[in-house]
Amino acid sequence: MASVTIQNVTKAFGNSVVLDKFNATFENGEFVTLLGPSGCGKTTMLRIIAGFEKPTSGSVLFDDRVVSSGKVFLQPEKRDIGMVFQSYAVWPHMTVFDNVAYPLTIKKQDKATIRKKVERVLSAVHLIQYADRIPSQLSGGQQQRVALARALVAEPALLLLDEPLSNLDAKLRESMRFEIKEIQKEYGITVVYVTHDQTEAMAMSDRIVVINRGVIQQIGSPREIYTAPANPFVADFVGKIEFLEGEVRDGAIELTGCGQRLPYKGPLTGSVIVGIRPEQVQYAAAGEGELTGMVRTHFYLGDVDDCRVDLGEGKELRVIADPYMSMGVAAGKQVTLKVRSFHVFPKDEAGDFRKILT
Amino acid sequence: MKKLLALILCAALTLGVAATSLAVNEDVEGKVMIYTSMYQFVIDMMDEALAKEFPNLDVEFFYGGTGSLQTKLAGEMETGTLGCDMMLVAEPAYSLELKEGGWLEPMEADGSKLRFEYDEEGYWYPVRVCNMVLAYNPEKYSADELPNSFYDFANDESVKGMISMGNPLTSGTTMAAVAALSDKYGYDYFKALGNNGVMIESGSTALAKLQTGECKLVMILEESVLKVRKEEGSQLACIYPTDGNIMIPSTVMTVAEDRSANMNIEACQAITDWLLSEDGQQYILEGYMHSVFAGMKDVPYDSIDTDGLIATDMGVDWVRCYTQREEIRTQFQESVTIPEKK
Amino acid sequence: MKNKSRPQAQLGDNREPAIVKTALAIALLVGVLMIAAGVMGMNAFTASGFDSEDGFSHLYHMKRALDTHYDTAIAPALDSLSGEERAQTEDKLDAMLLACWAELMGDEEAARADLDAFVASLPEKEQDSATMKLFDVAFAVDGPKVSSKIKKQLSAMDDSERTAFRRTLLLALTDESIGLPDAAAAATEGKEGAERERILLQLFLISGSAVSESVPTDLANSLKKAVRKDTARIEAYKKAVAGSVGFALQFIVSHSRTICMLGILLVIDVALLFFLLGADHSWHFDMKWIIILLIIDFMLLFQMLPLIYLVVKAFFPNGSFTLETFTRLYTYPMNWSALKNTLIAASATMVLGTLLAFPLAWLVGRTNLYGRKFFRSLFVLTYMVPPYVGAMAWLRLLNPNVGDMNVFLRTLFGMAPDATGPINIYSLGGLIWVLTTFYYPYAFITISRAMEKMDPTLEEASRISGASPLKTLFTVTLPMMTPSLIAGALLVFVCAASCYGIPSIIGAPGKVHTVTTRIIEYYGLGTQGLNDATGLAVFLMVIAIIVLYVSDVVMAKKQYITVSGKSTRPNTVDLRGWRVPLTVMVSLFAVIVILIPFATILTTSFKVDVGKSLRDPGNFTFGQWTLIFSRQETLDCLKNSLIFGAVTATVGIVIACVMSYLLQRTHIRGRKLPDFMITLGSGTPSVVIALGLIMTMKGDFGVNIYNTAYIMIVAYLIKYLMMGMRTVVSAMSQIHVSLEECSQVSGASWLRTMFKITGPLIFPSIAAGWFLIFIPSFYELSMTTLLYSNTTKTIGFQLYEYWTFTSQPQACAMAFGILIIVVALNFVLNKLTKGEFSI
Repeated sequence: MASVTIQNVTKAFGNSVVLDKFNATFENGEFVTLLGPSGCGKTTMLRIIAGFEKPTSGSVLFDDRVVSSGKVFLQPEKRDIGMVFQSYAVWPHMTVFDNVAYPLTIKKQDKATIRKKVERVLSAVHLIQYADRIPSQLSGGQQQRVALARALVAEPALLLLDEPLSNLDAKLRESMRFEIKEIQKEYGITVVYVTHDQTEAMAMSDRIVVINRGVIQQIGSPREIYTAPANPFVADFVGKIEFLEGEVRDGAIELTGCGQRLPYKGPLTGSVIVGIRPEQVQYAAAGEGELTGMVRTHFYLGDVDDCRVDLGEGKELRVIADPYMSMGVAAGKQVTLKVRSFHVFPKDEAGDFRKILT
Repeated sequence: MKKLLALILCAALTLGVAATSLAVNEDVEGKVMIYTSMYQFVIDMMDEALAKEFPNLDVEFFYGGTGSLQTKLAGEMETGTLGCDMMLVAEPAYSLELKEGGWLEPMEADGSKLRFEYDEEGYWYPVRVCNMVLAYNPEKYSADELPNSFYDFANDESVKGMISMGNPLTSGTTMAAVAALSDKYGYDYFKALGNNGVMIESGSTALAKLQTGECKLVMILEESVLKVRKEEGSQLACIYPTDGNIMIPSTVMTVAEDRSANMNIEACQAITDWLLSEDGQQYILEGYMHSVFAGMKDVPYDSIDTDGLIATDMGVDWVRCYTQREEIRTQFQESVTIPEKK
Repeated sequence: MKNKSRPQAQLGDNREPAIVKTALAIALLVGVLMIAAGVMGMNAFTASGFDSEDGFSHLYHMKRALDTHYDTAIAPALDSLSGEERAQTEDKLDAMLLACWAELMGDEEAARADLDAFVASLPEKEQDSATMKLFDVAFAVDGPKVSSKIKKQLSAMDDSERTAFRRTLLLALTDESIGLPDAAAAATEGKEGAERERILLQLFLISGSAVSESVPTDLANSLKKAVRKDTARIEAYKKAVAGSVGFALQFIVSHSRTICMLGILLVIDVALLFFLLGADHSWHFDMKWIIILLIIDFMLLFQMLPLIYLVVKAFFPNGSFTLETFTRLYTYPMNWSALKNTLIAASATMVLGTLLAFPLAWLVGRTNLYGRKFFRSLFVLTYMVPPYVGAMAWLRLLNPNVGDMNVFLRTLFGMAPDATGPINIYSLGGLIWVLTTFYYPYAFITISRAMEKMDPTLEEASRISGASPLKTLFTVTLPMMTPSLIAGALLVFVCAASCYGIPSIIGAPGKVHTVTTRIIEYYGLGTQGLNDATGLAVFLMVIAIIVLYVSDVVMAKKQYITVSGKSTRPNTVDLRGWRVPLTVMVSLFAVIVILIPFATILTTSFKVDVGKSLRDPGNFTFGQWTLIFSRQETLDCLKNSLIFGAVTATVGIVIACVMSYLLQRTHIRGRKLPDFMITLGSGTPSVVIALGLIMTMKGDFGVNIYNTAYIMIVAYLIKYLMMGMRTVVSAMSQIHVSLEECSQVSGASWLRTMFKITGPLIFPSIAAGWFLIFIPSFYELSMTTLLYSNTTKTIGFQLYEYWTFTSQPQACAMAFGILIIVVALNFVLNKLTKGEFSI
C-alpha cells in the first residue's frame, strides 16, 4: 500500500486561490478524511492526488515517488488508484459484473482470476446476486456499492472517495459507513475520504484534516479535533458550540454583558472568546453551578432536552441534556448551570468567526 | 458532262479512301479518349461500331454537356495537357479558338466530300449538323395561327410570354443561332425577344412546356424534336422558319500530339476517316442529325432533304461568332435576361 | 502535527520530458529540411525550363533504358561491321548528329561546340557510345514517324533475319546503292538525302531484338510532353545520356510541392504540439494530441486551403492587389439584382422557415397531436431529397399557364380557364416558397433536438405556479429556446443563400437571378470567368462567415438549456380541445408542402407525354423506370454514390468525434477553431467549394486529386460535416465527464476510453450523425457537376443529365428512386439506434 505526501501544494483557478500551501502526509493504510464546507478545496485536493488536476505549485508524492510537480506529472491511469465519484460514474451500458471487472480487463488479467476477484469483492459489498444486472436496474445505494467494488477490485495502493454517501438516505448512509470501514480494514488500504458531513468524518477516520477556504485549519484524530479544536472555526464546524466574549480577570473569565464569571486557570489573558459545547453543560441545584439564567425556549426531542438559557443582557447559552438530568426544565424557569469544560481562544486571532461558514 | 465526270471521280475517290482505311484497321492499336456532347445513345452505338471496326483499339468516350465540357477543357488547358485525344464538341467558333491556341493537330480528309465549311489546313472538319428551327404542339395550337419565322417568333404579340429558347452562355448551338440572327436583324432582334417575354431554359424543359401547352413556340434543335417524335411517338412538330433555318455543324478535332492524353495520332486519323466515311455518317443520322456528306441522300428520321435545308440556311459567320462572342453575349444579356425595369 | 519531510528521490521515469522534447526538436528539423528540399526542387525545375516536374523522373529512367538498349541491341550491330565499314558509318552518324543538333540550336558553330564539350565531359569509356545514345533518345522523343504496319513487320522477323536487316540498314547510311529489304524500302519510299538517312536510322533504332525492346514508347511520350521547348530538349537529351539526374534529385523535383507542403504541415504540427504540451507543462507523450493534430492537418489542407486560396485569388486576380474585379462585378446591373434577390430570398426563407419550423416542432415534439411520430419523419422528408427535385415538382404545379394547382385554383375561384394562373412560380415569391419548403427542415431538426434536451422540470414549475400550457410556451419554453431558434434560423439563411439547384430551375425563366446562378454562368467563360466567379463567391462566403459567427456567439452565451445528465422524457402537453383542429391544420400543411409535390413527381415518372394526364390512353408506362434502373450507367452511378456517401460519412464521423472531444473535454485556447471551420465549410456555397478545390487540388500545392473520387469526398466533407458534428457535440455534452475519468483511473488509455466508454454511450448519435452526412452526400448535385470525371459519376450527376438533356419523366423516375433509397436507409437507421434517434 502507499503513503501520500503533499508538499506545499497551491492551486489557483485564474486568480482565485483554491488551495493555499497545503502540507500533509497520510501514512500507509491510514483512513484520512478531508473535512470542510463546500467550496473549501477538498475535492480539488483529491483530484490533484488522483491526477485529474495539476497543482499550480508544490508537489505530491506516493511513498517517495514524485507523481505531480512543476516538472513531473504521472498520468492518472499509471497511479494505481481506486476512486469512487460523487456521481458514482457507473457505466450504464455494462452489467454490474463488467463494471467491476473493467480495471482488471484493462490490466489484461486472465478470465479465471478476474471472475474470482470480482466475485470476492462483490460479496464483500453484498451485491453478488446482482452481478448480471445493469446499473439502471439498481437503487442508488446499490449503484454506490458497485462503484466501491470497482474501485477496490484491482487492490489499488490508494483509495479516493469523493463524498460517496451524499446521495444516500440516512439509514443506508449509516450501514455504508460501517461497511466501508470494514472493507478498508480487510484490504488494509490507504484511504483519502472527502466529505462535508462531520459525523461521517468522526465515525470513519483515523485522522481528519479540517479545511477552510483552501487553508488547513487542523490535522488530528477525531478525539483531538473534537476535544482540542485549534481555532473557533474547527470547534464550530465539528460538533455544536456556542461562543461568548469575555475578559480574563484574576483566575476567572468575566463574560461581557451578563457579567457572570467562569473559573479559568489557563495561560491566556485579556479579552478572549469562550466556546461552550451544549452537552458539556448540566443543570445543577441552586448555588452549585457557575452560571445562572432563565430558560427562554425548550424542545423535548425524546432522547434530549434542547434548551436556550438567557444569561442576561441578551447573552444566551444552549443546553442539551439527558431528560432525566434536566430536572423538569421548562420555559421561563430560573436555572443554575454547571459547565464541565469549555474552550478558550484569544479574541484577535479568531477573526470574525461568525462569518466563517462560507 | 462535267457534272457526270465530277461524280465518277468523287465515287472513285471515296472507294479508294474506303479501301485503304479498311486494310489498315487491325494495325490501329493503343488508347484514344474522345470528349463529346452527342447524345448518350449515339455514343453507345458509335462505341460498338468502332470496337468492330478497330478490334485492338481501346476507344473511350467522355460525355458531358457542351458548357461543362468547355469548362473542363479550360481547367485542363491550365496544366498544358488535355485529358482527351479527340473532341466532338460545339461548333466551328470553338474550333477557331482552339486552333488559335495551338491545341489542334492537322488531319487529312477529303474536303470535297463535305457540304459544309471546313478548315483548309485540316485542323477541324464538320462531322455532324444540328439544325436550329422552331417547334410547336399541333394538339394544343394549330400551325397557321403561330408565327413561322424567327423574326415573328420575336415580334409576334400573340405568343408573348409563351416562347422559350436556350441560354447562349451555356449552350454553344444557341450562341451560334443568336449570332446569325443578330447578323441578319441586328441587336434590335434581342430587344424584341426580351419584350416578347422569351424564357431561357434547357431543351428538355422547353419540350415539356410544349407538351403541357405552357409554351406555344420554342426555338430548339431539330434533333430534339425528331428524337421525341420517334422514341415517344410524340406529336410535337418542327416549323422550318421561312426566314431560314440555321444549320450549325459540329466539328471533329484532334488534340495536338504533345498536348494529347495518349499521343495516338495514327488512331485519331483512322477514327476521323471512319467518322467522315459512309458508315460513320450513318450513325450521325441515327442521332437525328444531318450528315455532312455531299452525296448523302438519306436524312434523319422524319426530317426533310438536307440539301434543301442548306439552301434555306441563314448561314453563320463563324469568325464573327468567335471574335465578337463577348459583345453578342452581353447584348443578349442586356436585353433578354436582365429583368425589365418595372 | 509536524509532517515528516521525506528525501525526494527522483526516480527514473522523469526522463520522459527530455525524450519528448528531443523528439519534437528532431521533427522540427526534419520539417524545415523538407521545406528546403521542396524549394530547392522547385527552383531546379524552374531553372530546367521543363514544362512539368515529372520530366526529371523520366530522364532518370531514360538513362537506364538507353544503357541497356545500347549494350543489348546497338553495340552488337556496330561490332558486326568490319573496321573500315564501322569508321565510315560512325563518321556519317557524327555528321547526321551535328545536322540535327544544328537544327535544334539554330546555329552550326554553337552546335559543334556544344556537342564537343558534352562528349568531352563524359567519362572515357562512355564517349564513343554518346552519339548513338543521343540519337536514341532524340529519335525516340521527336524522331521520324514509322507506321504501325511497318512496326508489325519488324517485330515479325526472327533473330538472324533481324541482324542481317539491321546490318544492311547501317551500311545503307553510307552507300545508297545497297538494295533495301522491303520493309525499309516501304518506309523510305520517295524520300532521299538526310530525310532518308534519318528514317533508316530510326528503323535501326526501333528494330532492336524482340527481347530488348527499344526505348519504351510511353516513357518517350511522357518525356515529350514534359519537355516542349527545343533548348530544354537539348539539355534533357544530354542529361539523359550523361545520367546526371540521380534518384534523389528526380524524386525531390518531381514531388517538390508535396514535400514542401508536408514540411510546412510538420512544422505547424510541432509548433502546435510544443504549445499544447507546454501549456499543460506535462511533456507527456499522449496519443490524443497526435490524432487531434492529424485531423487538424487534414482540415487545414483540404478545407482551409481551398477557401483561403479563393479569397486571395479574388483580391489578387493576377498577382497584384486590385479591387477592380469587385467594382466591375458589383456595378454590373445584373449582378446587383442577383445580390438583391439572394439577400431577399434568403432572409424571407429564414423568417418563413422558422415560423413554420417552431410550431411544427413544438406540436410534433411536445404535444399529444395525433400521429405525431409519423409527422415527425414526414416533415424531415424534404431534407432527404435533392432540392432540385422539389423545384421540378413545383415547376409543374405552379407555372402560370397550365400549372395543375393554378388550374385547380382557377376553377375554384371561377376565373376564366385560359387566364394566367393566380400564382406565378417564375417570380421571387415562387423562389422563396420553394426554398422554404426545402430548407425549413434544417430549422426543424435543430429546434426539435433542442426541445428534446430541455429539462421538463422548468416547464412543470411554471405550470404549478398556475400558467396554462400556452402561457408556459411563451414565458418559459420560447425564451429557453431562443438560442437554438436563432441558430436554426441562421442555418436556414446560409443554406438558402448558397443553394444553386432551385434558383437555376425556378429563377432563370423568370429572370430572377441569384449569386449562385451568376457564378455558374461566369464559371463557363474560361479563365477570366473563373476570376469573376471567385469574386462573386467571396461575397457569399463573407455573408456565411458573419452569420455563422453571430449564431455561434448567440448559442455560446445564452445556453439556457440545462444539460441535465440523464436524457429526460419531456412531458407532453395535452391539447385538449385544440387537438383535432391542430391535427387537421398540420396534415393540410403536410399535404400541400410535401405530399402533393412528391405525388407530382411520381405521376410524371409514369407518363409518356408530360402534357397529357395519366388517364389518357397509352400515356401510362413503366418504361421510364425500367429504362433507368436497367442501364448499366445508372447502376454504376448508384454504386459510386453509395461508396462516396459511405466513405464521406465514416471519415466525417471520425473527425466529428475527435473534434468534439477537443471542443468539450480540453481547455486549450483555440479549441473552438476547428468547430468554426466545420461550420464555415457548410455555410460556403457548394459551387464555391468546388471552385476552390479545382484550383488548389490540381498539384500546385503538392496534392493532385483532380478527376479522382477523393476530390468529391473532400468536397462533400467540407459541405456536410457540420450536421454530423452538431449531433455528436450535443450527444457528448450529455456524457458526464466522470464516466471517462473513472475509466482513466482504472488504467485505460485515452483511446481505449474512447472506444470502450464514450463511443458506445453516444453510439445512437454517431449513427444519426453518420446518416446526416451520408444523405446529402449521396444525392449531391451542384459540386458533382463540376468535379465529376468519367469514373466518378454519381446519382446526382445522372439526375442533372436526365433533367437537362434527356426527358423529364426519366428525371422524375430517378428522383423518386433516390427518395425511396434514402427513406429505406432512414428506416434501417431507426432500427439500428433502437428508435432512439432517426431524422
